[in-house]
Amino acid sequence: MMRRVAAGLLFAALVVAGIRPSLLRLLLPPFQPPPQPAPMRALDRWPLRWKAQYVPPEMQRFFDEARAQTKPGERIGLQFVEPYEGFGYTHWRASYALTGRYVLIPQELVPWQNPPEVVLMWNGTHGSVVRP
Amino acid sequence: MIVLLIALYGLPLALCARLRGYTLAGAAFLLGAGAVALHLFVLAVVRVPWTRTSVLLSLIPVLAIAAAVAKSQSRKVAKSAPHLCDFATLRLCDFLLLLPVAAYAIFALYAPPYEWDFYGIWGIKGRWFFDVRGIDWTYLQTHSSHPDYPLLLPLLFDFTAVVGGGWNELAFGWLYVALCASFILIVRGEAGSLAALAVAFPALNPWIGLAEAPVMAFGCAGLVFLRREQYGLGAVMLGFAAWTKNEGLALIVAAAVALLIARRSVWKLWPALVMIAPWMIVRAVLKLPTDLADGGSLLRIWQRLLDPGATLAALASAPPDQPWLWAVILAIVLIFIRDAWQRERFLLVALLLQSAALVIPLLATPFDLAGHAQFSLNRIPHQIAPAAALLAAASLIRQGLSAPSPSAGSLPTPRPSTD
Repeated sequence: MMRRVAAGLLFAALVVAGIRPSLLRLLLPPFQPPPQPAPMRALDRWPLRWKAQYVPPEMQRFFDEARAQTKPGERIGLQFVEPYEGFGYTHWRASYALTGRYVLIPQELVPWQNPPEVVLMWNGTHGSVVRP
Repeated sequence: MIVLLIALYGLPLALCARLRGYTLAGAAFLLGAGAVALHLFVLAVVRVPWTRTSVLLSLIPVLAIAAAVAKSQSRKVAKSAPHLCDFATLRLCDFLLLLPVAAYAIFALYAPPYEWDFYGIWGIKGRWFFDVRGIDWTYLQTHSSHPDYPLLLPLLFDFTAVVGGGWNELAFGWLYVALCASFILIVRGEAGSLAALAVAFPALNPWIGLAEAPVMAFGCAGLVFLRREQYGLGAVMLGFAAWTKNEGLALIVAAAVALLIARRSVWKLWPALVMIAPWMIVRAVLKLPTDLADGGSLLRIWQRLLDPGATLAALASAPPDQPWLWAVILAIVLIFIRDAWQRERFLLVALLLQSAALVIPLLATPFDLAGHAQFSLNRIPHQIAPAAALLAAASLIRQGLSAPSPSAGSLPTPRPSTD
């Protein structure tokens, strides 16, 4: 009997230790994670999905517009202001939005052998597609 | 609709394995998901562009063969067991399972995936392939990040997009819900409702858009089937796991060694090797490099092993997600270690070896170990967490927590070792 009770307690501990209260809270309105700012430079040990998207909606729309204005196979350079510059999350977000085009690694890291055919510029509030 | 289509496609495949009830429902989706992804791979190799028509039409012959085999199998099953469906053992625990799965569905579907590796690895490959309606081998060789990573997940995204009529990231959430729920259903069918309750939360992987959930679902399902001596199905699931992530390949090795130690028939894992062989050939032919296996990786592992204090400190600075769960699992396994060694030797050894396989590549990292571990050790252990929870739960259930599940009782239970 004692063995069964001990096993029952351990089983309860096993189930309880696995529970994610944050997940169960989603069963109640508003049916999404509570609003939290995106982590700095999108660096977090936990799923980014628990927090706001790092790339703002207007920037995502800009990527979609850039996709429409560029052709598959074109080489694309990125020039974004802080905190979106460099070979970070935004670089990959842009690469994903521009599949079929070759988004170049920032030249600070790998010098460009051939200049990009298109440069996407983001000044913090809006972007432009430039053909040098 | 796409999820249902995938499950319907996998249904005859699961029936071929004479599955029933919950296990049938779970395995149907996993088998269907793996099969449609590999189907796209074959079409790409024979240079057939992916269109809704070409994909669906080419699926029909495979489906017809599977259905014919399933029909002959069902006649044999019918002689020994009159019911193909076995949902009559519904328990209170089963209703409790609905809550976390429903919550997970909300989580997976409230927004498109936006993790780093979705944009950098899995999603970008899938979208690039979708754009050209096939696998762009040149892109893989020259511009892809982690070109050596297997392609099942991007191809699963592609199947959804091709059949669904467009690239819709939001729909991918359904794939994650179905993958995780399928594994829970398999555990429900193979180990009973209490075991399913124990694995439910660990199986609901929160990294939407990444390969952790599919490699967990295929890999852990493979271990569950091998534990029940269903070698063919277990090997096929491990094959799909190896097609999902390199850790799945390591899991085949871990399972093979565990089978050897548990004195079971290791050669019965051959379907897993046959399944992964085409991808290994592609990797070799295209010379797709792996970032953790450069010339200095062995040296880095050796250097870090020579300094265990610093290495352990670096690893300890990055505890896994749900550390209390791991602590409880470890405590239970240690308390019942004798029982686990005698009754669950296969699962125990496989999990120990796979745990090592998850950590050792970290030691080869050319980057700072603590920094790399911060963004790796949090999620990688989730690949085996549900199987570890099952190991712990099985030990407790054997202490008399519940009567054997009738649905599980018709299948062989893990045998105690003879020594």
